[in-house]
Amino acid sequence: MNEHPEELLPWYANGTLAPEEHERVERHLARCARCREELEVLRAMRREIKTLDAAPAPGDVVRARVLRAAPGARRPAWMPVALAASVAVIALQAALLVSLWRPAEPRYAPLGASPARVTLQVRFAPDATEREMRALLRAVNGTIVDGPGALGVYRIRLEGVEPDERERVRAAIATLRAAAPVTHVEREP
Amino acid sequence: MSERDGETAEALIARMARGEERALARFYDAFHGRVYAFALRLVREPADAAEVLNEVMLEVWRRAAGFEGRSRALTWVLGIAHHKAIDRVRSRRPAFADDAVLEHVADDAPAAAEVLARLEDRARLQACLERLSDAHRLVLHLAFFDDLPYPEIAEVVGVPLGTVKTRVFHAKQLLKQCLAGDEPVRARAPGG
Repeated sequence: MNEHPEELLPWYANGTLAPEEHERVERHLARCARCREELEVLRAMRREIKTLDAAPAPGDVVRARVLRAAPGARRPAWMPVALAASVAVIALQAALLVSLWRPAEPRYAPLGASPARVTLQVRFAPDATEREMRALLRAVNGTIVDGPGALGVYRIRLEGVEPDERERVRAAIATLRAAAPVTHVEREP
Repeated sequence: MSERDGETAEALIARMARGEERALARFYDAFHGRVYAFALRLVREPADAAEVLNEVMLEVWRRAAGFEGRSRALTWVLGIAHHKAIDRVRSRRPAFADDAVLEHVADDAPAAAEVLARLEDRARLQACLERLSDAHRLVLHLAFFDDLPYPEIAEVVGVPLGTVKTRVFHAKQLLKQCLAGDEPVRARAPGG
């Protein structure tokens, strides 16, 4: 070899050259005093940098923080599938909203003239199907009037139920609460 | 570093991809020292390096499913650390350039004996390392602290193979010149 393999010497010093490069450098070192000297400098540099750069790592605080944040930061392999599924549910729910939404009051109704209504706030499980939601709405004679909001809450009006018909309201709430696809029901004040 | 209690880092990443938090804890224990030391070379402040460490580990957790095993786990995690550390440096120093400054490297190399003697002066070595550009200091760290082969350094830093070799060569020359020079050098105070 005519040229000094100076650019490969750092990796000869850290022992990571591929076998053929390692061999080439070794052959050169056997007959080049200048490169042997350089290698000695690089080995000393490596030794000192190993000591100098070995910073005491932070204690358990960062570890605890990472492990605490991990569940919320989670995006494992099944996530894209779940995301696609929830997009599909939202699309179905939107379709349902359109099909079931019946404007009850004419837009020109004067303020104060609309009859009092019973409205429930209902949250469905992420895997609730359109068919299940439709069946539940029929069971309580409900109409979606709003939603889903940011927290996934729908506002459902109970048709034909007056605010003071507490038994009927309670029964509708009980029906919804007993259904698996419903995760939360609350009467709107 | 790639094995811990008989389980490879790659196996831990596969378990993380399945959502096993215990695998993240073990991965953290195996790699936090390397990630922190690497981040500290760039961001310099221990508090910032701890933030980078936190961000890197959460990113590893998030991206575990995308790890294809084409790189070693260490190379992969240091590559993530490089991005996170540079983001943090840029937030502190908007003018930061992720390039080795084309510094003039004098041809007259100092005598090996002189450099070897000066290498034992830790304070001077520390000061001379700090005088290097970030890019130069970083490749020396990867080559001599982490003992990475040059193709892996190229992957971590995101530059071609030839650039890594030239960069380490220049960094080493500049360090030697600083060590052997007559000029007094002092390590900068933290935060400087």
